[in-house]
Amino acid sequence: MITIDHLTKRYGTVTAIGDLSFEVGPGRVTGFLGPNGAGKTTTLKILLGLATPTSGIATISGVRYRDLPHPARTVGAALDNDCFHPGRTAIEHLKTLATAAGISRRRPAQVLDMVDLTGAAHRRVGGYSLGMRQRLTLATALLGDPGVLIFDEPLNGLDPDGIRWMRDLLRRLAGEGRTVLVSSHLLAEAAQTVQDVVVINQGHLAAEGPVADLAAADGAGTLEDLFFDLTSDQPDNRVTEVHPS
Amino acid sequence: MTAIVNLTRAELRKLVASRTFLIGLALSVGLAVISVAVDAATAGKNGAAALGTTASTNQMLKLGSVCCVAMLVLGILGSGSEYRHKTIIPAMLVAPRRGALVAAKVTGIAVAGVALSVVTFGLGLATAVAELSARHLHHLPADTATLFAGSVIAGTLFGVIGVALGYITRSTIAAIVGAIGWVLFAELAILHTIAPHLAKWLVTGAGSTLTDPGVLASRALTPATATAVLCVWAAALLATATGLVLRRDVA
Repeated sequence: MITIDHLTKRYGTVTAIGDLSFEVGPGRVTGFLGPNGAGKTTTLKILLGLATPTSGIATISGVRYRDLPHPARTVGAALDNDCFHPGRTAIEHLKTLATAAGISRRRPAQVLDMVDLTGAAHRRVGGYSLGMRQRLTLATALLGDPGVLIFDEPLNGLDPDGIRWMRDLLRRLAGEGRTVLVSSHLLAEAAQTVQDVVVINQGHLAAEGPVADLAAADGAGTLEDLFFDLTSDQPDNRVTEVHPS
Repeated sequence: MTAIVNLTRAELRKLVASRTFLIGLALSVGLAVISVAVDAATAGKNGAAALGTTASTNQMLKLGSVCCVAMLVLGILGSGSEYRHKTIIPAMLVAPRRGALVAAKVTGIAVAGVALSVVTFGLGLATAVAELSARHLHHLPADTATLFAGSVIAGTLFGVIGVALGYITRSTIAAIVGAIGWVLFAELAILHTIAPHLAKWLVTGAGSTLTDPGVLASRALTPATATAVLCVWAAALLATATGLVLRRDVA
């Protein structure tokens, strides 16, 4: 369970996130949606201990990320698809992280197999395509076989085959009972992948709940309609919370 | 404790797996061996001291400065490139307690510093001994062992200083330019000119005491004091770096 509780982050006079609260439960793919600059990445960075909130708290199973006893085995995160030393091979990148996290030596080869990168395991990452980097990012997140997975824009740069592959993988991971939070601005793709959504706009919660229920409550036909209803600069924007019936 | 051990093993793995350290080691050894060979070849010519004299041998054994420069650059690359390539993000996700991450990086670079300095000075010294033996000269200055130890200590501490600079600037280029600027302009051009009595207490001054036979012989500082001075500089820079790493958001 991911809990964001009254989170605020200010950079000088600019409020990136304002009193944001929501929860993400296990067993479902939750989309974290919002326009560019809405505060999605900042929220995820605070959740993962990479940024410090001005106030509020973000926890995973009730514990702040930096207080988790085995963070890599609890949470797998993919924030950026370019976090690799270009001179290292994929297997060496993963072995280094596995060593640091105290994870089995066999696991790097297993996760490379899961993301279909076994054939490129010994190639330097500098020569990888964007899609291959995206898969390696995913392999990095899966290294500790964590119960909570957090992905920031995982569909960016993927070709149609890659998008379908990613969609199936995310659903399978959620189907195994894991908590899967996926930020995206590709609404059409997100609509086919996520079951729940958290929509934020200008750092504030706009809506959270199952996609179908939110769309029905809003009178919107699609996730895209719902998104634009919630994030347009109209004065009737409101926080909508719909809980699964 | 286990976490620190795992993180340190990961840091050593990075060093061994990357070409940067191996290239740095090769350059360092190559420069040391070539400089000894050149000094031996030019000894006794154009006013240079004759081979076999203490002055000539001292000139050949100025190998510690190579270790210091190599380790300073490797230290900067070790920490600064974590930001350049954004590998700091997965590193901090694995080790959210950032102090442990810095400690492991410093330990890793210190091990690399000892290895590089021992190999560089050792092969440079072996070359010098071979050059002298070829001319039936079998005498080394009494300070050679002190110089060997001083070069290893200085090389290691310069590596730690490099790590600190990389973390402070989060940029390999800025750190290298800043380090060169500090040594050439702040220390050598300004402080040595306006306050020469302070020179021995600065980073390069203390480093020279440990690595330069001429400075060592002058006893401006004892080797133990020079080591302490260099340790204080490294600790101060590392404390600053650690504070920044702990406090800063990761972009």
